[in-house]
Amino acid sequence: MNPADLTALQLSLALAAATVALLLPLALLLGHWLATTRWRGRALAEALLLLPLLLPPTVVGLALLIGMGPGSAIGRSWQAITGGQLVFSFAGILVASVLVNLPLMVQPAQRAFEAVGDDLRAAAASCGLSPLRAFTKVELPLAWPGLATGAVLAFAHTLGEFGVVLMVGGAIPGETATLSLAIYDRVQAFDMAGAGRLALLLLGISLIAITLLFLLGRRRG
Amino acid sequence: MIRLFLLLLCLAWPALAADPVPVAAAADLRLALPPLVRGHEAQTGARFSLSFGSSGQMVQQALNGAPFQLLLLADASHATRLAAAVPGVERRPYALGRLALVARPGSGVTDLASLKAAILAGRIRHLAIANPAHAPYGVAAKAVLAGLGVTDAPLVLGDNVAQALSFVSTGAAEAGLVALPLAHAARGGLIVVAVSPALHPPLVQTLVLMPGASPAARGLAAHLTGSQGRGALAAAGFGLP
Repeated sequence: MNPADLTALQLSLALAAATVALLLPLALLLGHWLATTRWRGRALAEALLLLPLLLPPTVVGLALLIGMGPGSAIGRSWQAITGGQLVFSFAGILVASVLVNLPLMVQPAQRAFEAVGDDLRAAAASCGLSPLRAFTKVELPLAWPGLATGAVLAFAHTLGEFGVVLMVGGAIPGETATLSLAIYDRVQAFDMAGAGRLALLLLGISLIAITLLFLLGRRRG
Repeated sequence: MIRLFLLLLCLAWPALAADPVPVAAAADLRLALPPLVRGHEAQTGARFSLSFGSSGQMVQQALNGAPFQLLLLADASHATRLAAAVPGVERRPYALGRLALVARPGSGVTDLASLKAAILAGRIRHLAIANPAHAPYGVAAKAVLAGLGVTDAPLVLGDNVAQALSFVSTGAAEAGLVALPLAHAARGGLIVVAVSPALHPPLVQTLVLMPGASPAARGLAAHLTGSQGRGALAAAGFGLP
């Protein structure tokens, strides 16, 4: 394994970890809200949240290129705050990855919170638990397997993510050239041995990482 | 369940049944080739399906059994690679690839000299080129930069030369070195400057007829290298061999 392979592997793992870390609180809040709200627009909100899964990476990618570019409001504010640019950076592909993986984490979280049931929430309230304590002591432990499933899905999906990163990344080594992109570039450049080596590496690392995540989810549950 | 399966089969049928002549083409032909092929179809009644991508991608797919009968590649080396692996292919040059410098209006870049100045001054944050690992235009762009004495340009790599151009036309990158025939048609008020072909190794665009190519595929190849085809390619911004 050469240094370039290692850089790509580190980048992929960092992207997957950061994606899950950012999505976990988001999925917790959104999933809980969708599971408990009586709001009439709920079905529309659910449909909107599923959009990243429906839209092809080309559409999401192009929208992000324009929306995060130096000419856009988001791109300009990002530059004002950090001094760097959002497109073609790790932060940029992280934004893309969070967006694409949102439904993969929110959906299982919502189902898990729905399964807790209103009866149990009412029982917790009648025992004198504040909504916050009921959430942390009763709902979260019960919903944890759902959240863990979402986290594993998002982590695995990010490791294998290709389309959106290809569209918005610009293949910069150490910044946006993830392992799945490195494999693709090797294949295109007729380096089948290198591509095969990277693919095996990705397979092995992913299997280990996901097994660990499953174990973690089970122990906590 | 069976009804659902039959319905899906019906929906998928057109994709399974169509049989136009499959043609693979380098991304720089994306704008110039379709009108040429449509004209040829009207003349002959033959039908073609066009797939675009980087030359490496096209050759890779052909080697792995893609049914292309004719491949229009952006350089000679990919044709050589295909010829080495598949006995009996025919190769012919059909055009010379030309590079163009494209830049956003506000970037202050008007030619290669100002591009170099802008890169050195840090005013260009992203310079888009095709991926030199497998796209001939990327290799040519790297050669132009090396000739300018720019060794550490802030490159962003498009999967093929068309994607590199889209990085600039969306405003995500300030400038790019892309295919002239594509840049000509770029919208958004981009500055487009043709780059002298003397500044990079020649991009001898080569067509490859696979063994057993149909008369229709051979006809299209002849049309491209005939006077009509050459005229259309030159008008689109290609050089002629």
